[in-house]
Amino acid sequence: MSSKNVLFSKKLLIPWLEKYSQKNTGWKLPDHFSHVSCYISPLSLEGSRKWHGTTMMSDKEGSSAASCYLDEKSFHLSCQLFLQYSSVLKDGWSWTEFKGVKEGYMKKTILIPGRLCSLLNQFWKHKTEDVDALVEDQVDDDTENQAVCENQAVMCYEYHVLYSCSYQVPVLYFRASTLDGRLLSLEEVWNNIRPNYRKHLLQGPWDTLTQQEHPLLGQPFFVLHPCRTEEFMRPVLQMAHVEKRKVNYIVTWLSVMGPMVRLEVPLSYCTAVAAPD
Amino acid sequence: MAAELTEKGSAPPKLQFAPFSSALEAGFWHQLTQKKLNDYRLDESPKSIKGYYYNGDPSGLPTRLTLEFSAFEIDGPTPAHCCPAVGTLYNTNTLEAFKSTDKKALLDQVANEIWNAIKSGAAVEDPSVLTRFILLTFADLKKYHFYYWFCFPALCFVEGIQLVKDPVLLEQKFSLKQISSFQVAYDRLCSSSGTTAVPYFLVKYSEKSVEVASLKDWSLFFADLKKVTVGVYDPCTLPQHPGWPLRNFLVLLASKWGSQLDVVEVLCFRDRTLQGIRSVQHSIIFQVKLPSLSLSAACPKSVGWEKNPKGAMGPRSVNLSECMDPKRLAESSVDLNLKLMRWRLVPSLDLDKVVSTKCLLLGAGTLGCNVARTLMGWGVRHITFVDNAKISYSNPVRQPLYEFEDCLSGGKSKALAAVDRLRKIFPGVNAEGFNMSIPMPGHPVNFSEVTIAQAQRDVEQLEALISAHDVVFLLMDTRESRWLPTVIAASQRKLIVNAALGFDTFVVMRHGLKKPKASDAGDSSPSSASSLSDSSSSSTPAIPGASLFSNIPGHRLGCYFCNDVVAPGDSTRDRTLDQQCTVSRPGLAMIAGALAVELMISILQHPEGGYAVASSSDDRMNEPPTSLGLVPHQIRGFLSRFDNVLPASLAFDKCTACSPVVLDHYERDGFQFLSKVFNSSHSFLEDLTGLTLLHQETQAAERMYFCTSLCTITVCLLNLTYCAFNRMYPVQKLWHIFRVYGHFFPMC
Ligand SMILES: [Zn+2]
Repeated sequence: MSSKNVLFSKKLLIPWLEKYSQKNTGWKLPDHFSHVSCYISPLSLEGSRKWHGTTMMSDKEGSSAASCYLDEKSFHLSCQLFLQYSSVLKDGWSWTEFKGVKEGYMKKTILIPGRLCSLLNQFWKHKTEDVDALVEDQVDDDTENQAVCENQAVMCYEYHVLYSCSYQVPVLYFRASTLDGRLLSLEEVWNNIRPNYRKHLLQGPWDTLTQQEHPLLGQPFFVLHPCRTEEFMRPVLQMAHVEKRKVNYIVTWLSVMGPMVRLEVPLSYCTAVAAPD
Repeated sequence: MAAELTEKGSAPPKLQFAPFSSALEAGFWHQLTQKKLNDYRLDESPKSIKGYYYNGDPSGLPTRLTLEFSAFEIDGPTPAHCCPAVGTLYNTNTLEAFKSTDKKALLDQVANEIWNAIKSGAAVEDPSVLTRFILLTFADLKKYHFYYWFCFPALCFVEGIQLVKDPVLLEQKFSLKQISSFQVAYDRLCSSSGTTAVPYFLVKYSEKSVEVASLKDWSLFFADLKKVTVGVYDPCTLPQHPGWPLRNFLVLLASKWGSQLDVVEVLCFRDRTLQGIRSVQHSIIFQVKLPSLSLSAACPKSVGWEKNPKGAMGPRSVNLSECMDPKRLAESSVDLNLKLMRWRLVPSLDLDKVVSTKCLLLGAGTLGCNVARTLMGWGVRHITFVDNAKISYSNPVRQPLYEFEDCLSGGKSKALAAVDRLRKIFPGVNAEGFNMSIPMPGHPVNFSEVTIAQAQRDVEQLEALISAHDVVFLLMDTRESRWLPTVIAASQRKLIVNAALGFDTFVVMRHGLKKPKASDAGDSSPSSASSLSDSSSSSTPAIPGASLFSNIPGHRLGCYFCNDVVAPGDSTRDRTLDQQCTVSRPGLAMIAGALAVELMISILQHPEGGYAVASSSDDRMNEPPTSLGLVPHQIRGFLSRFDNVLPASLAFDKCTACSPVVLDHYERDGFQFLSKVFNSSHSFLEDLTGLTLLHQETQAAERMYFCTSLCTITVCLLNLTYCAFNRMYPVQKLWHIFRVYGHFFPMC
C-alpha cells in the first residue's frame, strides 16, 4: 500500500520536481527518488504528513534510511549536546525554558559594530521629535571622571532555535536591533550584509526568509521558513549516511542555515558534538 | 601598546571610568508593554528589574548594561558568565510625569542605599549591591513611542582618584604561569560561590601562584595591608580605563580600609573566549591611591544619569511603531511577503510601481470584490470604489467583501461597506467609496433640472475620480454603464482594465491607450480594421511585418466597444452573453477578477505600460515581454472547456466609445455632448460614428459571410479557439468578427 503511494507520487511529481529544481532553486535533484515524498511538503502540509508517514515506513527497508526530519525528542537531545559543547567554547548559546509550557529554545545573541553612519541616520529617524526638548541641566554631569567612549553604533543579532512540530525540523528565528531596542527592518539587515556575499545568499535559504511571530514570545521575528529545510539538509545527510558518519542534526543544520544570517558555527562543532543515540 | 603607555605618561594621573551604555533587547519593550497593559496599568510605584553586564566582549564594543525581556523576572537566571545588576523601574503614566520626575532625588535615593550598604557592611557580604541602576520610562502605547533614561549611580570622591601606576595589560605584569593560576583560582571561586561570575574579589599573588578570595574574607586573606590587590569583573574593553562597576567598589574600599591602605592595586578582570580559546591576558592592572573617606560622613555626591546620543544630559526615545503597532506590522508583513516573491521568483519585479498604483473600481459587486481582494494581495494601497447599489441578501455568498449583517435594514451601500471591509482586512489600505451612479447612454437624464444637474455632478465626479487614479477597472454589470468611463479614461489617457462575465465565459481586457495628446499628430487615427470595402487595399496596419493578430502596439488596441457594431444604450436588444453578468457560474467572477488584476500587474511591469504590444496566444511559446510573462490585450475564458484564449484586436475607427469623433465631441462639448448621448437612442452614436453607414455598406458582406461555411471561417481565421465565439456572440455579430479579421481572408 505504501509503495503504491510512492509510485503514485513519483509519477506525479517528477516532472514538477525537475522543473522546480532547475528553475527556482538551483538545487540538484538527488540521483534517485526513493524519498520523493519529502518533496511534497512544500506543496501541502497536511497531505505531506500523511504521505510522509506511509512512505517513511517503506524507507526503512530501502537503501538510504537517513531521515531528513528530526523528531522532537531528538531535537532536545541534539540541542543538549550542542549546548554542552557551547559551554566549553563559551560562545554564548543558552537554553531558555519557557514558563508554563514545556517548550523552550536555544538562544544566542551577538553584537556587531554597525555601519555607523547608516545606523545613526536610522537613530535620528526613529527617535521621537520631542525628546530633544527633555534635556535637563539640573542633572549632574561628571565628564572629568569619565573615559571618552566612542559613540559606537552596535547591532544586536538575536538567534533562536525552535522546533517546528508541523515540519518536524528545527527552525531558525532571528531579529536584529539597535541598542535602544528598535528592530531593524529586513532592508537594514540586508544592507548590513557585505555586497559580495549577497549574491551567494540569494541562492540559498535566504529566499525562504519571512516574518512571523515567535511562537513562544509572540513578538515579530524573521524566520528562515522550514518549508525547504528538508531540501537543504538532504544532500548533507545523505552524504553523511553514505560515509557512515553520524551527525548531530542541529550542528549540521545550523552550519547550513546560520551563515546566511550572519550566524557562524565554528567548524569544531562538527567533530566535537555527537549525535544523540 | 608601548606607544600608548608612553603617551599615557603625559596624561594627568587621574583615573577615568568608562560609563555604562544602556542596551535594550527588542523583547524588553514588548515585555514592558505587556506589564503596563496587564499588571502595572496606572500603578507608578517603583518596580524591581534586573539587568546584566559581561566582561567577555571583543574589543571595540561599548561597555553595556543589558536588559532583556526577562528583566522583569527579578529571580530569573542570569546568563552564564554575566554579572547581574538590580535596578529600579519608574514607569510614569504621562510624558509630563516623566519630565517632572525629580531625577536628582531618584539618584540620591539609590546612592543613599548604596552608602548605607557600605556602612552596614552588607556590601562587603554581597558586593553585587554596589552595581545598581535606575530606569525611568514613559511608554506611549498609542504611538508606540518609548521615552527612557538610565542612571547608573556612582558615588564620587570629591577630588577624584589618583593613578599611581598606569594601567598595563595583565600579560605584561603576570607570567603565563601566573595567568593560568589566576584563571584556575577565579573559576574555583565561582564554583564555590555557586555562580559563573563574581563581580568583586581579592587577589594575592607570588611568582609561583595566584590566589583569589571573596571580599568578605578580607581579614583572613590579607595578612598585611602593605600591598593589596583587588579584582573587579570589568565589562569595559578599553585598554586604559576600567568600567563603571569599579567606582562604588573603590568607595567601599576607601571607606572600609582606606585609612590602613596606602596604595591599592586593581585588576580589571576581562575574560573572553574566542573560537574556543580563552584569554584573560588582556585584563588590565594598575595602582591607585585612595582618598580618605569617613564612614561617619554623609553620603558622597553621586552621578550616573546616562547622556543621550548627542552627549547631552537628557533622556532617549525610541519609536517602535514599526515592530509593535499591529497595523504597521500588518503592513510590513504584506510588503515583506511581496518582496519575498520578488526575491524568490521574480527578481526584476518592480513592486513600487504596483504598490503605488491608484486603482478606481467602478462596480463593487462580484467582480469588484474579487478585484479588490486581489489588488490587496498585491499590496496595492489605494483603492476606490464606485457603486450605487445596496447589499442584498443574495450578495454575500458571492461577493466576498460583504456579510449577512450588511444586508439588514435595507442593506448598506456597497461602495461604503466594501471600504469598511477592506480596512478591516488591512488597516494600511487607503480606500474610499462613492455611492453614486454612472450616467448611461440611452438612459435619459433630462426629466428635470434636478436630474440634469445630478447627472452633470455625477459626470464631473467621475471625471475627477478617473483623473485622480492610474488604472480604472470596469466591473459593472451592464454594458451601457461602461461607456462613459471608457470615453473619459480614453480622453484622459488612463489605463482601463475591463472585465465582463457571461454564464461560463468571460472577457478581461485592457483598452487601447491612446497616444499622449501632444504627440498625437502623425499617427492619429486608429484606422485599424476599417471597413470591408477598403480592407484589401492599403489600409492595413502601418507596422512593418505585423499581421493583424500580432504586434499590435498598445495605442492601436481596441476598447470594449470597438468590437461592437451597435451603440450601447439599448438593453432590450440581444445582448452578448458576456454582458449578462448576474447569472454566471460562481467561480467565474473570482477567475475573471483575479485575471483583471494580474493583467494590470503585467502591464505595469512592461516598460511601455499601457502602450505595450499585445501578446497573443501564439506568444505563449516565445520569450515573454515582462518578468511576469505575457501582456495580452484580451483574455477570453471558457469555463466549460477550462480554456483561455488571448485575442488581440485593433481599435475601430467607428467605435462608439473610443473613436476620434466621439472623443473630439466629448472634449469639445463636454456635458452638452454627453447629455445628448444619455438622452438619445443608440442611433445618435451610431450616426455620429458612421456605424449606421457601415451597417448599410456591409449588408452585402454579411450576406456573403453567411454563404461561406461558418465553421471553415472560424477555424481558419480564429485559430480554432474562436469556435467558442459561437456561444459568446449572437449570430448577427459574427459578421463583425469577419470585419475584424477579414483582412486575412483572401476573397475579401
Ligand atoms: Zn473603442
